[in-house]
Amino acid sequence: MNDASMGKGFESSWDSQMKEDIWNLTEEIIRSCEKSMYYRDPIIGYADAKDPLYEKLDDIIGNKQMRPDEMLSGAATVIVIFVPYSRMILDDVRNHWLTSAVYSDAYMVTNKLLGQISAGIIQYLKERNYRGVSDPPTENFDYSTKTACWSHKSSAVISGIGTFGLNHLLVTSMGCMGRMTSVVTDAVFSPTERSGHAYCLYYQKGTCRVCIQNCPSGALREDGTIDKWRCDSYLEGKNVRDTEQGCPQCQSGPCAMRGF
Amino acid sequence: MSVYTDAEHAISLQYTRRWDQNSPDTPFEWYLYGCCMHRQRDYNRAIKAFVIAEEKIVPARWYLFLYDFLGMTDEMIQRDFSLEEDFFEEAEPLLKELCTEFNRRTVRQEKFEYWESERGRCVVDQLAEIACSLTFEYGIPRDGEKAAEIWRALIEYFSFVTEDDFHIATAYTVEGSHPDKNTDACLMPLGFCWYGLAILILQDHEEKTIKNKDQIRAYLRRSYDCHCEEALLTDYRLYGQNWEKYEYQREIIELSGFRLGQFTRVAEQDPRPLNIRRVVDLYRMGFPGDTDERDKQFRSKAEKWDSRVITGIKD
Repeated sequence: MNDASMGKGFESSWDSQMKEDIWNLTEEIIRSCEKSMYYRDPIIGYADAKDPLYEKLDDIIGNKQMRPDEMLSGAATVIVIFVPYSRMILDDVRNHWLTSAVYSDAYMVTNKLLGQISAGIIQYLKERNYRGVSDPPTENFDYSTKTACWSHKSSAVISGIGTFGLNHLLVTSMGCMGRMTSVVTDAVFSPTERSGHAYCLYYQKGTCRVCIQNCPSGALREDGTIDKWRCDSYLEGKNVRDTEQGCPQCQSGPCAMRGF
Repeated sequence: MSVYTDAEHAISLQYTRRWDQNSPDTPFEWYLYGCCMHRQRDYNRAIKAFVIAEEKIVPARWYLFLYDFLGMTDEMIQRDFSLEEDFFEEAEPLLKELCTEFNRRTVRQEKFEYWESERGRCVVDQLAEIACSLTFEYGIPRDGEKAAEIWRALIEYFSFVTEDDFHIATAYTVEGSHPDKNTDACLMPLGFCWYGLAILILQDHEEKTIKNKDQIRAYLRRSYDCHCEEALLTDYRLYGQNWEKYEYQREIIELSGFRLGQFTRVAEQDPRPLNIRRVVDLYRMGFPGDTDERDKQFRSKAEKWDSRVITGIKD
């Protein structure tokens, strides 16, 4: 288990043991997956369900966001699980033009995997008399506004395991190429620390911008905004087969495998 | 304005899954497969499928229509007749013969004469072809009045299809353009008729008075609501110069992004120079709403693709 995923704020052995169990459980689910070679070790963060940032999300994101206690009454913690992709996926993406069958397969496989991880953690909590709920890892957004009412990414940032990049993805210490899910629970965990460090080179030094150069639809902008309709419609035009899912271009730059 | 891109994506997915599971076999299936490829802007595969359908003696009515469609998509790609002809170079001799200018003219003239003498007995496809020919001067001289008459007759014919019939997840794909059905209740033919009417007014009234403008835009809007994407492209070309005040910003962004995605996909799946050049052209034309640095950056993406032309498969 890596130190970054544990955070520094917890002290009780209960807290420590539960976190270790959840990390081991997640790791076990990933390793027992048929396509385990797609993944590296997970990063798990814990956000306080009453963190003041949740109150600001409506304004930051621009549409009504559910609070953790609207997802689950009595919510105390949001557990965020980021599963980083392995190098083989990045290599396949870089060796192709715009469509990588390996990346596409990983997308489909990971949708299932994230469901299994969430279910596994919820079951683990249930066995200890805690409740937990989760939202699907994808397709949980409004098609007309292209916005979701529950953001796994925002919870990840609140939990401190990463920050937003210019590519609008979560950039963690292990990069941005990966997928995530979250579980809201009434179990009280000590929150992982938010360091305030930006993992994206652009936000750190004003350099890089590779994601903007790579974006085939021109949806990413240097002012930090994204044209969601432009990105989504491009994807819809390009992807009509299960082997053509997703567009990995904005996550295949220098921050793919590591944060800065 | 409409939910065009979501609908087209849903249709593409449904068709694709169908053909992934069952390769086309019967002439009618080849015809449907050709329609699917055409819809996904994979014209090479579309034409080949239509040719196979025709060889098996099924009226693959879309090939002349397809030719017309290619001619009308010039709002987004720079029209190059030599490139269009290249598509047909790929096809079987039968198709080449049918598509030579002489034969096209003869076929259209004959159909037009047939329509003149046997008005009531023309079928919908023939009527549509004649209306296209009269509107766009394909093989026969333009005649706005007669064209309008046919477009209106067709609109009446298609009037049983309403916007209520259109639901991405239900009626449209299940009851409408379903690949297993022998009928196509898709809204697009109706949209195409509205588009034809709009074009007629445009041609007749170059000065574009306020009254004409309103009528043209109303027709174009109806057309696009029935999924004729050329209608929105025309609206943007005519009225989109003042971007800040343009009413259909989101729609044209979605349509342009969708088309870029479609062309990109075809170019990657079938990297012959012709397909790559379509992508290059799209990038070079810029993206609606982009200005200054963004515009420059978008257009510069063409270079990356352009360099691939030499490494692609020969046309």
